[in-house]
This record gives sequence, structure tokens and C-alpha cells, in this order.
Amino acid sequence: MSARPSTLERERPAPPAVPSRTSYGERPGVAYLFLSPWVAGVVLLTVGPMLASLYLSFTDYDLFTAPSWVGFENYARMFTTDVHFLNAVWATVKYVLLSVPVQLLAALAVALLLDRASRLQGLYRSAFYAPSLLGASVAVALVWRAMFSADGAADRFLSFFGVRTGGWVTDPDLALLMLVLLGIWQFGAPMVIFLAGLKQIPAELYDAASVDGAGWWRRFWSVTVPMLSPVIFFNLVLDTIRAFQVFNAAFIVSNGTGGPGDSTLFYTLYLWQKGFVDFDMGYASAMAWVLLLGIALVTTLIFRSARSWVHYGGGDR
Amino acid sequence: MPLRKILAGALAAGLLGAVAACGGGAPSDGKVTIRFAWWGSEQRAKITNEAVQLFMRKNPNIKVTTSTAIYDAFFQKLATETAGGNAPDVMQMSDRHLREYAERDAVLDMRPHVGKEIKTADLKQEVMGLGTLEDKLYGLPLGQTAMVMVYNPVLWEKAGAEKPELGWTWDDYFEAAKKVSDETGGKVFGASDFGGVESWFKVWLSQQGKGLYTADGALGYTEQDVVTWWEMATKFRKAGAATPGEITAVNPAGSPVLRKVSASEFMPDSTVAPNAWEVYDNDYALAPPPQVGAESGIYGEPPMLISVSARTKQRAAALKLTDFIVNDPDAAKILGMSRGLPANMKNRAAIAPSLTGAWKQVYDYEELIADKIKVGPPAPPKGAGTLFTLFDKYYQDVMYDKAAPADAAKRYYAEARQVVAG
Amino acid sequence: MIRRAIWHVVVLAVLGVMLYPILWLVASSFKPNASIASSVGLWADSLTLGNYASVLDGATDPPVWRYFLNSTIVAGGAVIGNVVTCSLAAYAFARLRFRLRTPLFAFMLATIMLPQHVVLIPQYTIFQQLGMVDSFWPLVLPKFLATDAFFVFLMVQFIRQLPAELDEAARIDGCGPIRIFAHITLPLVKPAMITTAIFTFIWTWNDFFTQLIYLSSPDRLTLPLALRGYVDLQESAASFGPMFALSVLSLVPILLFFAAFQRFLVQGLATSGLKG
Repeated sequence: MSARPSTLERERPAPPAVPSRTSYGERPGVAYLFLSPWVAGVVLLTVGPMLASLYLSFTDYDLFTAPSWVGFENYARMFTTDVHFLNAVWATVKYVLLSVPVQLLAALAVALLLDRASRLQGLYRSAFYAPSLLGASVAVALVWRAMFSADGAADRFLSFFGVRTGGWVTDPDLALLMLVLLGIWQFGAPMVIFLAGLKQIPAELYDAASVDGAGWWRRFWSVTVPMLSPVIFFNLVLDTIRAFQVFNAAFIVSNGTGGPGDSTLFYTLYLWQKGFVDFDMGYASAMAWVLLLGIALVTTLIFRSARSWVHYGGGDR
Repeated sequence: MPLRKILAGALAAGLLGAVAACGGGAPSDGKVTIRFAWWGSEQRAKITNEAVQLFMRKNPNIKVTTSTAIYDAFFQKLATETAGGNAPDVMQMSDRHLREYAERDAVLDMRPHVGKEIKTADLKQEVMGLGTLEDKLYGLPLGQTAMVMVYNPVLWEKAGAEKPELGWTWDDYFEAAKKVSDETGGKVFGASDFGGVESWFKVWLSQQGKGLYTADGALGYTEQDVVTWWEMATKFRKAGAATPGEITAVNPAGSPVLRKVSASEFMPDSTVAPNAWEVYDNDYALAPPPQVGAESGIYGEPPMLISVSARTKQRAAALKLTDFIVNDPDAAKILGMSRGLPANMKNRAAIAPSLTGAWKQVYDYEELIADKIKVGPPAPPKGAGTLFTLFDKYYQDVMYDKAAPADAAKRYYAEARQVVAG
Repeated sequence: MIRRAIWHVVVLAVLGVMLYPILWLVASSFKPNASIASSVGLWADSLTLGNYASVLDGATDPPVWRYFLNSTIVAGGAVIGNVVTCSLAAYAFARLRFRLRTPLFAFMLATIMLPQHVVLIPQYTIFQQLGMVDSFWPLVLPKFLATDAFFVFLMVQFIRQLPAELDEAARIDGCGPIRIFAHITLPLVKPAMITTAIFTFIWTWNDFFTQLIYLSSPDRLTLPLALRGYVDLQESAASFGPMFALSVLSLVPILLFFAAFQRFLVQGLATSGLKG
């Protein structure tokens, strides 16, 4: 596409000088043109498997033989006879409540810390992102266990302050906390998104605020937070969704057992066990849809609340 | 396959039809292609790939592609592939999963091919049981293995502990392990806590004429058996003879012996790799497990089976490869003891003289216990894979002092019965 | 000046705690294989380059560079796909009006709320029918179809953060949506696109599950798959040393990728000519 408008377009009649907010002058077809790869993806790869899993959630399906319809039995089992299900829900909720706020605050704090001109800034940014480069590999699992083993770095650090943990992996609460810390440690993704968002705030706004005599704290609340709110909102929604689906950390570090007890039996870990170890994919599918409903509920609440605190430069159309 | 039908309905059928044109191993150049998948270490992969190369040289019209992963990943992938109608033609199989696959017609009954494509005459008949379900042969033994105790003889001697020998008892083991722990001042424990490992519970049961499962797939032990076993393990742990919970807990860095914080541990002898002593970085020796009564309780079992997909399009080639891996004398020389003693007795005799190092030790151990070995138990029921994990999970409550053995055993047994009942 | 120094001290202190585990990882790659499993501290009695030698000596089958090449193809393809198609979809959701916008957007979010394990088998079946199993297509094609809702949503948020007046002005000048997208929106959301590129590259590079399911042939294996092969605790065959060495080596490309692209993150509105 050329940079200059073509003659043809120039000759088109000019649109009304004050456009109504509703008309953007485009045909609806254009939107679907932009969306066409996404729509193709939905049709080819997304909607079929999703519907399949929804159907399977009402069946007894062992992966290899034909599913047989059982109605709501899978759903009923979750809340009645399954002794592990509620433990899995509880472990996951604890993980979400602990990891999401702390990770986002840490990411925002570091992003603010780094959002200033410094020759070393690029280096610092890379360094803070480094833990997130590791993903969830065997190496990470080994590192993490070494940090939290008896006589490991964490214990030596804590005993310096006179705190004795008595072992991280054997205590249900600490074992969960160990995985929460792993999640927080890898805060690179929200940090980078915050940084990108901070860069997008027009400098004029800060200049104007400074001229008005606002200090750092005031600039932060009256310029940074509102301008950054769409990005804060994004990180909050996505981090919540991802925390609800936490899998790799527990799978790698505790070898997928969910122990001690059911303290790290995260929802998707249990779902995976049901589907691929117990060959009960019907039940696993039902669990998946219950999780989807749960996450959708939480997300809807966040979206609802967004109306009062998220500010869009482009208007919330 | 119904799932595919559902999908076909949900998807634009024409789109699929236009592009779907792939059949596994269509012989365009007179060659057929089959896929062989197994789990295991990089070392096993190297050795197995070499044997496969030899197979292809001997059978120039068959191309074998291989794929490998570690245990957990392997079964996740195998389940997905099988459900998707794309199982490997030949696959390594575990006894804990066999029934899940066999009862759902995912693996082939090789019985009709025995004596033709598949020869079993030279195989040790005692280890054929685990691959046999109701007289159908779903898996051939890839070897023979027995439970063994790997221990550190240097520490043992230093502590003045009695050397473990055939016929020694669990009480002897307790005394010895305690001495080792005391000698090292708790830096190295005498034993790795064995309470949570179902395979060792199995040996202990077998010493008393019981088993994990009865022939008709029910639990072969009582709740009280679990209590007694866990109480014994707790006695070891409380006395400092066995590793405490913190150390026993699953660790990506490996078992306590591998981490050099324990001086003895039980394992199937097929998992003793040729470079095991190098990995352990120490002197290690092999000994039979301690006994309750007069019986050793050791089963001679295949460490793993080899199965053919029921839906393979190249059945002849798949069977040929299977027979080659199990029976071919040249393949046996390459494969060595990477999957335990060869199940083929002629091959076993042939490779024996050339064995060295850790494999030689395993061979000698097998010779030592040869006449004490029991015929392997029947193939376990569905849900065996689940119980294996569950057993460890409930023992963790005991190991971390969160529950008394009796209490944890009660909860375990209730859930185990539910799982086995389906 | 003192404030500056304090700032550096604070940053370095936080970094020290955060980077200690990574230091441990790198240190482990220089320890002899046998002492890794038992060592908790940072230092070992003896250091060796043997782990790197054994990874790089070409004895692995296929040679190690092959894993790097495969991972680069997969991650590179994924980056191109995501950057192009996610930005297109995001623009439609953020700036264009069409009847199904709200329900489609909600549906898009729902796709990331459903755990992937239950759609794995149906998706596998589709790729199996398309004859794409054991190739890179199942890993790359979805990215060209904007199935990564995370990134669509990310760019939607960034586009909505842009002042609407820009679009209005361009529209008054006679620009259609395609032109506005290409000349106004895209340059302004460069940070979001760079972010998408960086995350896609790193996450694809590290992804184990999808690659495990779809790739089988030894010469199509990627780094995460190769790394898992070193340690199988079912067998007492653990090559921790080489595993750590390859882990460190596999970090290098993504660290370079991040370092190379992170500077573009700086170019937000301030430098992209909004004032003009």
C-alpha cells in the first residue's frame, strides 16, 4: 500500500465535518476482512474442539472407545463423591489470590523503577526478564527445589532473620507458597506489558502535571494510573485467567503428584490426571467447563468493575 | 471413530476432505514405513536406534521411524495419538497401562501370529504372563527384571553393619540401616524411606503369599496389610534409619541414593544403567530385598512389554520388527541389558560372557536369585496406574507426620477399592 | 547524583535476589555430572567444561544444532503469524463496528479460559486428518489464524489506549480503515507488536506440551524435547550436567532475542511523532 492516498480516494466526497460517534464510515464487511484469519482459525481449529469437549463432558469417554451419554453425571460427581475435587478448587483459589496481586504489584513496581532514562536501562530490563526466559523446564524445577531444600538458599536467608521453616516441601502451606513464589519470580511478562504501556503515555501529560506543581505521587495517581488503566486491566484479566490454569509449575516441581496431601493439586493438574492417567476424559471435560464458567464469572466481575476505573483514550465504544 | 464424526460435523467437511490425503506409510517406492515408539533415557534411545538401523539393513524394504520421550510424557503422547487414530505401529508398553489399551482394542492380540511371525519358543515362559490377558497375547516381554537393593558397601562396612545376604530379614535391615545413619551422624541415612512405593509393598506382600491384585482384578491385600507396612516404614523413619520426609519427597534431582543422602534403596534391576556407578559417583553393590518369612518374594517380571497397534496398516512389518527386537541375536548384542536380562534365553546366554561393569553385577545378581524367583503376577486391572500414585500420596501424609499410618491407610483403602471397582 | 546512585543500588539489590537462582543454574552447568544432584550451594569443589563438550561434540543424534534450527523455525514462524494476524483481529475488535463484535470478543476470551488439555485430542484429530502431524504446521499454522487470544486482547487494549482523535482526523482526511490501520495505528502500537513478538518467540521456544504431542521424528525434535531426554528418573540415568549445559545454551538465543528487541519497547508515543 502506498503512503499517499490514491486519487480515487481523494475524489471521494468528504465525510461530514462532525461525525457522529456511531458512524465510522466503513462497511461492516471491512471488519470481517480484518477478522478473516481469526474467523478461519475459529472455524478450523477452535470451535469444533470446544464443542466436542462440551459434548464429551456429558459422556463417559475413555479416549479409545465411543463416548456414551451420561447426562449430568460427571458434573454431579464433582460435588458429591469426588474427594479430591474441592481440594483442587481450594488449592487453585489460594494460588490465584496469592500470586496474582503480588505478581502484578511487583511487575508494576519494577516497571516504574525502570521507566526512566538510563544507559543501563536495557541491561536492567533484560536482567529482570531473565527468570521469565526459563519457562517451566526440568532445569527450573531443579533450581527451585535446590533453593527451597533444607539448607537451601531460602532457608539460609530466612534463618538469618531467625525464621525456621522446618522444610518447604513437607508442609502443605509452604509447598503451595513455594509454587506461588515461582510464579511471582517470573513476572517478566506483565512487567514488559506495563513498560510498553508506560511508554505510550504522552509526555505532555506529565509536563502539564509538573507545571501544575504535582509531585511524583500525585502524577502517579492522576496521570500514570488512569492512562495505564487499560494495560493494568489487561494484566489483571490475563494473569487471573493464567493463574486459574496453573499447571506447569506444579507438574514439573512436584512431579505432578499434587502433594503433600492435595495442597498443590491444582485444578488443571487434577484435570490432566483424570483425563490422561485415569482415562476419564468425560469427567476431565466436565471439569474444564466448570473451570471455564468459574473463570468467566470472575472475568465478568472484573469487566464490570472496569467501567468505573479503566480509562480509554479512544473512548469505550 | 465417533469423536471424529462429531468433529466432522462441527467443521466444514469439504475443507477437510480437500486436504486430507495422508495415510501412514503408503508405499510409493515399494517401501513401507512404520513407527516405533518407546520411553526411556537418552542412552536407551541411542542403543535402540542402533538396533533399528540394523533392522533396516536386514529389511531394506521397511523404513522405521522412531520416537522417544520420558515415561510420563510418553504415555500422554501415546494416549493422544491413539485417541486421534495415529498410534505408533510398534510401541513399548507398561504392564500398568496394558489393560487400558488392550481392553479397548488399541493393541493387537499377537496370539494368532505366534509360531509364525512371532516366535516365543526361546522366551522365558515365566515372564510371558504380564502381557497375557484372558489368553490373548497383547505384549511380549522386552526383558526380565527383579527387585534389587542397591546399597553402598563402603558405608555398610564402616558402620559395622551386617552384609545383606539372601534370606536376611527386615529386622536385620533396620539394624543395619540404623548403624549406617549413626555412623554418618545423619548425613547419609541407612535407607531411603520405602513406605510410599507400591512396587516394594508388592514384594513384601509377595513374601507372605499375597499380591497387589487377585487374578480377577480385586485388591489382593487388606487394609491391615497397608497399616503394617506403613508402620514398619514409620519405625525406620522415626528411628532415623530411613530418610525423613523432607528428603524422601519427590525431587527432580532424583532419589535419595542418587543425591547421596541415603545408602540403600530398592529398584528394579533393569533400571541399573551401564553408567550407574558413574552417576552415583560411589561404590555400589546389589543385594536381594530383606524378607518377612522364608520366601524371597521377588517376581521375575518383564520391566516393559512391546505391543503392536491394533490399527496398524503395516501389520506384517510391525510384527517383523517386534520379533526382531525380542529375538534377533544380533539385536540382542546391541541392546544388551538396556531393558533387563534378555527374555530370549538363547540371547541371554550369548551376551553373558561379554558383560562388564554394572550390567555384569546385575547379571550376577539375577543368577544368585534365579531359583528363588516367583512367576510374575497376572496383568493388573484398570486403575492400576492410578493406585500406584495414590499409594504414594496417602503415605506422604504419614511421612510428613500429618496422619497416623492407620488413619491414612483407612482413607487410602477406601479410595483404592472404589478405583478398582471402577 | 546521590538519588541516581540510590536508584542503582535499589535495582541491583532486587536483581541480586532475583538472579541468584539463575546464577545457580549457570554454575551447575560447570559442575561434574555426579556432584550436581547432591549440591545445594552455588560452588562445587571442581569445575569442568565437560558438560558443554559432551553436548557440543556432535555425538547426539541428531546433532545439537538441529534442535536449535528446529526451535528457531517454529518460534520464528509463530512470531510472524502472531504479529500479523493478531494485530489485524485486534484492530477490528478495538476500532471497527460490526454487529457481532461483543459476542465474538467474549467468545475469543472464552477460548483462553478453557484448559487446553480437553481440546488437545480433538485438535490432534484435526491435524491428523490434515496430514500435518509430525511436521511444524500444527505449531505454526494456528498462529497464522490468530488463535492466540492473549495477543489479540493485548493489542486491543493498546489500540484502545490511543486517542480516538487520531483516527477521526485521518478519516476526515479521507482515509479508510485499512489506511488508518496501516499508517496511523500500526506505527503507534509498535510497543505492543514488539511485546507480542518477544513473548511469542520465548513462549514458543519453551513450550513443551504441544511440541511433545505433534513432533516425533528425531530430526524434527526441538530444544524442549531434547532437554527432557537427559533426565529420566524412572531409570537411574540422569545426565544432569549436559542437561544444564544445554539449558544454558538454549537460553542464549532467547536472551539475545529479548535484548535485541526490548529497545524498541522504548519507542512509545513520545518518539513516534504524535506531536506532529
